[in-house]
Amino acid sequence: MLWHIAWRNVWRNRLRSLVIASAIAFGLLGGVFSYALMMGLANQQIRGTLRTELGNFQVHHPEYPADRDLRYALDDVDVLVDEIRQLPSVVGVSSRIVGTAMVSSAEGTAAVRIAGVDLEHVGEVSDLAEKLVEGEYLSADERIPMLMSRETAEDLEVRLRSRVVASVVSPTGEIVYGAFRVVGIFETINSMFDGANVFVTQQDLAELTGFAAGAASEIIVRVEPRDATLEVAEAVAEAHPEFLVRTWRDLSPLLQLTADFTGAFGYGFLAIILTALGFGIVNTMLMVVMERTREIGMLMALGMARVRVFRMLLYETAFLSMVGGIAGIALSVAVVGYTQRVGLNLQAYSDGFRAIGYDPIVYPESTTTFYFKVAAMVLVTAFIASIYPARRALKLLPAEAIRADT
Amino acid sequence: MPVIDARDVYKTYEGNGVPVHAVNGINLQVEKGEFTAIIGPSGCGKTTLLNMVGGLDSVTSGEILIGGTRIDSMSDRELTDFRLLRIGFVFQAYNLIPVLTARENIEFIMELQGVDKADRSVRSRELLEAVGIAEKAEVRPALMSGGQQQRVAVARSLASKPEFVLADEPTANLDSHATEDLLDMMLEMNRQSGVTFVFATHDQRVIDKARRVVALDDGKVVSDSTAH
Ligand SMILES: Nc1ncnc2c1ncn2[C@@H]1O[C@H](COP(=O)(O)OP(=O)(O)OP(=O)(O)O)[C@@H](O)[C@H]1O
Ligand SMILES: [Mg+2]
Repeated sequence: MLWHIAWRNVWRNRLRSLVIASAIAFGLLGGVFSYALMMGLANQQIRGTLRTELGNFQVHHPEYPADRDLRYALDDVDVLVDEIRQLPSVVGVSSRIVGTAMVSSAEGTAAVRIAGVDLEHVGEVSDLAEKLVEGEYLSADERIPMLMSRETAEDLEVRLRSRVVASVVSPTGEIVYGAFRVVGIFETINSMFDGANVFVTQQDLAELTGFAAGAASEIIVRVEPRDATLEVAEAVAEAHPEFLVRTWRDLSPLLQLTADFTGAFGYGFLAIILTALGFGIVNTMLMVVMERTREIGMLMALGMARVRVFRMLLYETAFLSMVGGIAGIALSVAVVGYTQRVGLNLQAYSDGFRAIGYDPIVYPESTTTFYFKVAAMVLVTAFIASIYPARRALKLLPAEAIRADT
Repeated sequence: MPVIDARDVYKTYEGNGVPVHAVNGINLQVEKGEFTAIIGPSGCGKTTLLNMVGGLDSVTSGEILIGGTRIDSMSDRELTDFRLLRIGFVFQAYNLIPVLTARENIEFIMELQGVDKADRSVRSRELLEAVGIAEKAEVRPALMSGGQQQRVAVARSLASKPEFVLADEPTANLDSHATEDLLDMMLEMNRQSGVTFVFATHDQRVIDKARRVVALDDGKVVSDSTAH
């Protein structure tokens, strides 16, 4: 019956209960929506970067990463590619030759990474073909084709079909020069990536640098789902201790930070909101205890044990909080669900999104687990918030409480 | 053996540095089946005495035995259970939980007393019938008159078949008609079922109906008379 009394007590002062429940509901909406927005931003960035740029993990010669020296290559790369392709969860594998280059036009020079991609498989690991704003993707039909970003093209003042010259350090340490024709211009959500990369065919780059047949600098592997990355990467690393296997987390400390801390920030933010709400709940329950001094004194006088009085107030606090909590979660599900469907265009607020690799159209995302955790956090808050007011009630002496003035 | 046996009881409050001797050496024995009024001017110590006898307040010195059990040295926990199971209380006001109906108010206390559900509903109906307001069983206190509310409180006080019922000014908020009705009802219970009632009161109508009247002044018994 304690539950029963507690629930009805919540509605004794309807207005006050609705006010605090609304505060909880809107506070939660704020917290949950912020979390969903941050998760949306973070996941979009991670997903986008993995899909266009990094893949889920990469394989290199252990000496290679230090200064991208083309001397350190993976030999017989096709065998390794086929082997990795057989592993579960692997959805794409492709090899590349990647070196450092200076690309020059009549008007300027840019220092970039030059990647020679395997035309047959590159689509499995990179969606760069979808990021073209002008021209076509690399193809075998073109002679010495190159893709560069709009940014680089503007710097070099080149247009589609323009010729540029790339100078690359060959595996033997000489600087070699080669002409390329710009066949496509791309633009991704990440301007850092755009400014630093040009793409050519693996065959052309191999010929230019005198790269050994069948060798490549790296293998990019795409894994689905993302959670399986580590498992697959470890399997490859175990089978080939002679190579360096690094997941996207190792390859991009920034993404790793984003992945690990966005959730934590979301929870931290929510915790702060709940703390503020907790004080509101404490205040409400203190008022309740003060208003009901005589009633509580009467119940204790009749022989209601203090633990029961405590529980009655705890339940009341929990009910009050859950009314707000459930309303808040329902509101959040609706708002997050809607914005997730239509997307939020943040371009109006900042042009800086692309500069740090974010898409200005954000799709907030959340999970059912998260909502359950929020509900649990509300209950914990209610519990903590009820302790102080309930202790006040427990300190009442029944004889005094009954005498209390009207 | 008396149901209430207060021996040489003192109660001193340290109010603002000036000690108040609220109860100043009282000996009082109440036998089973009594219908007793404790009277006296305001501040003479009636409530204090009742509270000590009811295990709501500690004694400064002296002994209180209820049905032969000493309660003045019990712990808070023991006293809580003792009150729950052995003593009935009716207060001047705020007797009932406003969010519960008459029946639920009675059954809630019975639940605390550990009575199982089936017995609770049978007994609460009996009790409400005994105090004459069975038809108000499903009504909340706010929709009852003061007299009806006090009847529910009396019904509840009897739920555990206590040794006695302590009633501190139970009629103070009632008009004369309701007071008469309530008192007649309690007298009836006293006669028929032998329920022991001890009142603290100013109310002449209560004093008139009481069979024993104990008068206090300045924390002492100044007269103790039994009507014949
Ligand atoms: N908690 C307390 N602290 C200090 N003094 C108290 C306390 N409770 C009661 N007193 C004092 O003790 C004395 C007896 O009070 P008590 O309430 O027992 O009187 P009473 O006979 O019930 O009076 P009334 O008829 O007005 O109800 C009074 O002087 C009162 O002021
Ligand atoms: Mg009094």
